[in-house]
Amino acid sequence: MVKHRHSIFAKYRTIILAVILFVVADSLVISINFYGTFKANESAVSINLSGRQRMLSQRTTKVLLLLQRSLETGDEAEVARDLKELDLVVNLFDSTLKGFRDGDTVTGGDGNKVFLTQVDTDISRDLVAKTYVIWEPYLDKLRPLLGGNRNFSPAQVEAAVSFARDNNLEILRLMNDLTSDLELVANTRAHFLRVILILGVFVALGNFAYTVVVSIRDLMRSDEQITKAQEETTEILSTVHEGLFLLNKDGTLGTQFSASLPKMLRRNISPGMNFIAVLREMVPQNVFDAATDYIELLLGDRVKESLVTSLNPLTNVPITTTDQAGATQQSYLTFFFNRAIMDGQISHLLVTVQDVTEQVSLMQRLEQAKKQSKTEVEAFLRLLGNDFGALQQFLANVDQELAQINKELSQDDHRHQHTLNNILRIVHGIKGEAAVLGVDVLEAYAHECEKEMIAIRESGDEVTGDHMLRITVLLEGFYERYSSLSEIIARFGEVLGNKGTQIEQAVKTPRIASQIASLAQRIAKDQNKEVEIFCKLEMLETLPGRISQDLQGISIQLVRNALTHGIETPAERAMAHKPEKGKLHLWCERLDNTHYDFVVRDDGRGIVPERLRAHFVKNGQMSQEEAAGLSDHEIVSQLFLPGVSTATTANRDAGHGIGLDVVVEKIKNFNGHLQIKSHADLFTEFHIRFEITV
Amino acid sequence: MKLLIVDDSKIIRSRVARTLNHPKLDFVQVIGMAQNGVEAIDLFLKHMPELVTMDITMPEMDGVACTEKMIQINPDCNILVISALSDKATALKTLKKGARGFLYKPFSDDELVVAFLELTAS
Repeated sequence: MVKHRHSIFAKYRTIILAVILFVVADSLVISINFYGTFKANESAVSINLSGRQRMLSQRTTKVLLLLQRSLETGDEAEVARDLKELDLVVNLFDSTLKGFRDGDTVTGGDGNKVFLTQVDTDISRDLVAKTYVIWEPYLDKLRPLLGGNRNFSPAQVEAAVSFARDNNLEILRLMNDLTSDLELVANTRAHFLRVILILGVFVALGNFAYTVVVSIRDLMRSDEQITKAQEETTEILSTVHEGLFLLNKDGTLGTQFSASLPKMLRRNISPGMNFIAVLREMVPQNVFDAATDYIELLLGDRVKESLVTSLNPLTNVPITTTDQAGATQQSYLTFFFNRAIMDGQISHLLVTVQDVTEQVSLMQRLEQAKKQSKTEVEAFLRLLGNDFGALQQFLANVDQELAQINKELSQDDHRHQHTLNNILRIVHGIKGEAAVLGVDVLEAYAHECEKEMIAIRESGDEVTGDHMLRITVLLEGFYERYSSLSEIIARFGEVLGNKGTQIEQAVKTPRIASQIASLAQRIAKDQNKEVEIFCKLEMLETLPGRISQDLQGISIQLVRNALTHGIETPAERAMAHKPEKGKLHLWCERLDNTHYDFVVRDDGRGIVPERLRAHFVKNGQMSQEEAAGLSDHEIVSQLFLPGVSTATTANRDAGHGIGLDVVVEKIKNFNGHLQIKSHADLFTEFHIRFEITV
Repeated sequence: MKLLIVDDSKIIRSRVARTLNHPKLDFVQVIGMAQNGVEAIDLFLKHMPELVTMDITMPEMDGVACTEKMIQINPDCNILVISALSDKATALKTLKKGARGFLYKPFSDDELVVAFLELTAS
């Protein structure tokens, strides 16, 4: 599973801190501002009222003077008006002054009540105190004139006027000074407020600048990280061997995928492409159905990812492609699916595509090797199933034959072609015997050698010393195999307590018949033919070893020929109204004291001179005229020349054109006489008559 | 946790039960074994197990149908399909019916223990 986690606080920490700082600083500035405004308001009231005190002091003096004049003129109405104003002005001045000293609610300039704060500087307090020093005696003088009292004496008025005259300027100065001081206080406060505001602005600007710088730095850093991550992702995706991509829930491909993906899938891939559709083109319907089920299960959250991987249907998916030259190429892919989890939810599937061609081919090779080793074990068991003495005899023969080849090679007096034919015959003989005894190793190797030598012979080039060198190398291989085989047999001999003393007897066991029969059955199977074998070869076991061996070799060759060339396939036999199963007879019988007959007979298609002529012409072995010029006997004689065959395809049993010449060679060994009898589509019989004189 | 073992093979049933002796699986108790789907549903209704191991090929009612029924009865139950089936499509079908995991027969003790632990992990 692939998981993504984000810490929101870590990512936005700077911004959150900046906002907190902004709120705190702004609240502070606003509070100070609010307080300042409140204070400014108070100052304005104080300045206003101290100004009014100036005016009231002067008006008190003026009203006193007017009162004195009105009293002198005796105008009572004027007197009453003056007294009333004096009452008003004095009370206003007194209450205001009291407000300055103690803080109190007073009547404002507009007649409304306002709160006058106590003066709070030493200067102001001193000024107020000094004013009281004058005002209190002044008020004593004025008191008889206040409160609507008309019973005052002119002396009392004179006393008040006189006091006013003496102190008017002093009171004015004091009130003036108070006003100045209050203005000074107000200015100081205003200045302080301005400073605070400017500081506030600076703090806000600083905060803003800090936020911007930090945010930009973070942004740049995160951009850098993103860019780096993207670069790394791109690099990974461009270099990674596997095909990598994210599969969205709707079955489409993510925006990024590895560069190797299109190469692996062998098609163009683009972001957002529908992977399911791609899959549909790539795999058979049943695999596709299973794959979509599997993907659906992984995209759902019900199944446990690790408990369903074994059901992934997209393993070892064969992909066949055709290149420009038209050659097809097979490769194998495996798709791995992993859930990608984001915020606890399955968001995508991470798909990894691997080219598993190598593994698949290794697996196939392993499978092959297993089969091979099984075959080898079987071959070995077959080897062990043989009569032990027969095996020893065979090896002794091979030893002789190899020595013979060696002799041929060393005596090669530039008649390379001739030498080659002789060696071929010997190798062919070994092959036959090995086949009968089930010694697959030697049979297969002899077959390989034979093929190579035939290739030399049929190349049409003159056989040279170089070719002979090659044959020497082949011979080496023979020796190697022969040696290891001898060793094995010798070891078994020790184990079995068989010291190899019974060679002669071994050859003469009735196993010859069964060995030939089993060889015939094997060849028949290879050729898809059916055959019934009748062997009567007990006589062979009474004959001298050398002749018996030659006759065995002849039997092998003639059985091969009969099954390859003579007996037809069941279908062909059915067409010719013959039983589907062919018949093969081998027998050896004594005619008189010294004469014997050895016969191999099959009920196949027979040797037909006309067919042979046509075959040789078709194969380019002779021209039409040449073929027509030869008698039937001469045409059939061609079969006994080295390198002649009538089989259409060569295999390990026949078709290489070695065989009958070997038979002839062997017959010569014991001065036998060969006669061939045949009838088209009925039979072929090889009849060998020989004589044994004691 | 209660476990119901569903398999028509007695050998497999006892094999699964034996694995539960593993110390890491001490929280699992076998409450019953069924040899076909019909029996399994009876036991399922009776005991309401949280865990079920399910074979696919069985007489009476096969694993696919049985899984579907069990999920209808209790959508939260954890079903582990254990099958020798080489046909992946049928196994996937059972998972689509609501089983949570799949284990191939033959399995090793360790594989079964791991599967149980994975299945019961929340």
